[in-house]
Amino acid sequence: MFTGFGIMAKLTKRRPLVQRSVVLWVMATALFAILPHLTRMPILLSAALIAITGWRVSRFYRNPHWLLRTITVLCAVFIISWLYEGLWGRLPGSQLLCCMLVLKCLELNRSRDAMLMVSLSFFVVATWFLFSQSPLTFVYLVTATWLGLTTMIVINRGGTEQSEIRSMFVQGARLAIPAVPLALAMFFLFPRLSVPLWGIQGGELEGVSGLSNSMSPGDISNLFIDDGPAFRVTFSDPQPSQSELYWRGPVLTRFDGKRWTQSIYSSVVTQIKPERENADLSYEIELEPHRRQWLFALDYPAIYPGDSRLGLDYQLRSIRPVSNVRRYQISSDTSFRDNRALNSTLLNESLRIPDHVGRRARRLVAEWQAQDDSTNAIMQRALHHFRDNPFFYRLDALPLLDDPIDEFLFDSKVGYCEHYASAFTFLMRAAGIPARVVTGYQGGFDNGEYFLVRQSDAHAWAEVWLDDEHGWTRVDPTSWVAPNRVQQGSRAVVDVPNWLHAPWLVDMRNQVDKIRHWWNKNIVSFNANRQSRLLQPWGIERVDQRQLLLLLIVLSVIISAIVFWWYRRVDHIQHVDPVVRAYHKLLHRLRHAGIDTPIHAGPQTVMQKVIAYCPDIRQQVENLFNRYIHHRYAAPNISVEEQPQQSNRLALARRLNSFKLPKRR
Amino acid sequence: MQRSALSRFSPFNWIVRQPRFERWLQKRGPLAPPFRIAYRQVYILPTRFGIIFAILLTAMLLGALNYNNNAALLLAFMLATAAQLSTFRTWRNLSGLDVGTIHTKPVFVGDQALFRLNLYERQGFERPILELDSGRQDINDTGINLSLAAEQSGMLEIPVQTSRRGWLECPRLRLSTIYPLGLFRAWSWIHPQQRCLVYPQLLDNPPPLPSPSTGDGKRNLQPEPDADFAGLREYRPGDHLKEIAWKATARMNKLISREEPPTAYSELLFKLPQTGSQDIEQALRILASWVVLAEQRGFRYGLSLPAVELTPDTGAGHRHQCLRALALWQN
Repeated sequence: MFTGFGIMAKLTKRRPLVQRSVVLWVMATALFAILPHLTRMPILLSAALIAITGWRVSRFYRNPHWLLRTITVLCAVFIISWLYEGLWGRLPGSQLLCCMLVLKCLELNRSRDAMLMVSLSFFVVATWFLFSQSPLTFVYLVTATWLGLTTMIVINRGGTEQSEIRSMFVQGARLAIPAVPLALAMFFLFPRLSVPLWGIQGGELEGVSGLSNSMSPGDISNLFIDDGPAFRVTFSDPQPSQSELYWRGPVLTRFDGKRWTQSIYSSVVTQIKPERENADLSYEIELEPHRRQWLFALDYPAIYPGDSRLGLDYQLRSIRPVSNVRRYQISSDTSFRDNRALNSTLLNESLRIPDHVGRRARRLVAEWQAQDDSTNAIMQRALHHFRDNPFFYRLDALPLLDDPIDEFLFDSKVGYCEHYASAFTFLMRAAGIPARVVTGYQGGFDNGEYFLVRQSDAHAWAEVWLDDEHGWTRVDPTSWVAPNRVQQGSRAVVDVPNWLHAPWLVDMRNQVDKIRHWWNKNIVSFNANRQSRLLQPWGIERVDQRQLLLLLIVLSVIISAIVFWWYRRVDHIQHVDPVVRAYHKLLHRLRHAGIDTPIHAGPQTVMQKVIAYCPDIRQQVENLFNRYIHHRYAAPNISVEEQPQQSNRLALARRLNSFKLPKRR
Repeated sequence: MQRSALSRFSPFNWIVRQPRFERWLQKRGPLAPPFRIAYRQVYILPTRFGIIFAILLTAMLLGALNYNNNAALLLAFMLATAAQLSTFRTWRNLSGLDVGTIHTKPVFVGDQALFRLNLYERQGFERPILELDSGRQDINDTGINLSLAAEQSGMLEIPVQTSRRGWLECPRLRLSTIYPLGLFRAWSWIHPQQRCLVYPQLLDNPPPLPSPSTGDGKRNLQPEPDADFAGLREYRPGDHLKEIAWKATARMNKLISREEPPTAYSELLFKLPQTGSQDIEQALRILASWVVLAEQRGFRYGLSLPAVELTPDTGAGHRHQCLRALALWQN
């Protein structure tokens, strides 16, 4: 028995358990957050995550024992680290986060857990943007924010009825929609970092298509079917013709009989470069992230971004891997000649061919050499060899197994640009002419204001050292076999299903790319540099970050004021009883009809006045007003059954609205 | 338990207990209901979860800035602005609410005193999840909440466990809300100058009632044989049920009361020494139990304590007077 004097009762204050409806909302949010990640997961893992989610929301769910929960978490960590050989990096990191989010649901008991899960979901959504920042992700972002905020509202309400779902989404939208203009203001004005605070690792190439730093048959043909954009070009000078658009990428000098790889000299910075004054073609490139260092340019870049270097092979490399959409200005000197004397090591590399391949090819070259030994003659013989013999440009070339040179030149005779570039370079080297393979993109699609270069425009060609006057000269053996490839673009020679070529589809895809372009230009590639030039359209050349911050504060205050005003309005419109609103409208109509209804007059007084005005519908008026009086003034009944139903309310409002005064005779 | 220990030593609670804080609050508007919560009386601070959320957002922001990942940056800004806008809605959930008076009823020690707070929504929009708490460790005030629809009123009850007789001051109450996002808590202080009377504890097995006051002998305790119609009068509102002469009522077809209480009533006068307890508090408990018992059995009873004299009577009002005297005696 309680007898304590001054003894404080010790209470354990425990928050109540969350309702089932809250669990459903939270799980929906979590599932929406991991949805894009599921596509990149091993199928079994994603199936397991979905199964756990399903089990959690099912009626058979019981909280598992803590030991089981711990084991499950450890299993998840183990599986991920086993799959990806470690936990560091974008892919394992984000997938581990997904697993943790889903496994947290086994501990979803109180609203605290629910709130934590929603915040974690936001984080998972953010990690998806490491993989994709397309315009579609923006739609995803807004939807995820909306859903997450709505779930937070539901959690704080302690659950919802089926009928309240719509109104919950409306409440969520009332937070999410006004957040958009404010967030955009912050986006453009919040001080950016011009130098990253900590290192950015590159080298993770999973899922990013593009050229690689080596080439073996089949590499580029995989790109042909990829319609994704590689980069976009906006020319400020008159644009060159299609056949001149050779976008220089990795230059491959070493050949081991199967693969072409880059020489170590390509990372040495060249001392001789085109003069800035000679630049005669300037353009801007918007490069989709490929997580490699190289930047693309037309031969030969004279003015290029400060954080990039021009190698000995005139390949432009950025200091950091391109992990975001990158825009850069570039100017090329089209008349520049790379004709300085070759140093011996580079020369050696440009001549070296492995002994075990291309024996027949070497014999063929020896035959040519016996007839005419000049460089020019050998080159012409080789190119004519491709044109005069039944060589075909086809994508479905058979894999070349043992000797990619001889098998291609003498047996299959079917191949695509990389086969031709590779074989031609080999022939040149066999004849003692320095040669190398250059990969990159060729051509592009004129999409109105800019040129779109797709992954499928990937190309490989050869460069041959002619003499001290001409230096390295581009030779594209593919153009001798399939001239259309160079003149009309990759589409002319690639066999894709016909319907993919339907004009409306191509047109639509080009339109979609315009949106992407706009998005990349204005949102994705926005950075500290662009930020400082933000006010240029208004004649302010540069703004520093303090001024931007000031502007942000001013703008935020203005936008917040507008939003607050909007909230007040919406609140009143939404929440005033429809009956009251209808009654006030009725009073307004009565006033118009000449019945004096002062503000202080109660419904009884008004009713008497209306009856005096039109005594012949007395019954109807009394009926209506009495119902209104009952609705507004009857003693509130606590019991649920007798509370005014929403439908009754609406019916009364409708009756009030439809009440019409008879015309006075 | 660990949590409660933490919050007991929180600087916030320390500030709240300072008298200077109380004076500062007083300056900002009325604390004793009834009043309408003005904008100056609504305070708002991030909740514990709000701070966790802020840390999370900062991490997201730093990562996005570092990698210049603009989509993630946009998400962080969206969430930050939504959180900022939610402060307005949270504030609005309280501001303009009418706080009615606080009601309470006397209770016995060991029972819970209930302070009832009436709230009236007159601004024309819904106010979900208004929570009431006292910030005190000994009061079980978790989960006391109420949602008001537009133009609706409601009541919140805060139970306070009683441990001693006398006046129990209503603690300073905090009417708060974390709606809609749970990132911020807006609250208003309510300090009702209201107190609840706590009667001494009732004993489960009190000693038997003392025998009727034999010593006085002023009144003949034996019922007179034919007193049926002696001193009858018509019923007056306020007459106790026991005063109604049922036989006469049945005969005369209207309510008849006795002028004089029937002599069958024993007249009891409770005194401290009768309890036989040396402990004053225990004695008061016994007296309180006797009062309740005597009232139940329909006796006339009185109370004679040093400095307090209540002549024998009966009825709810008298019972309260007696219990009140016991509750406040030498307190």
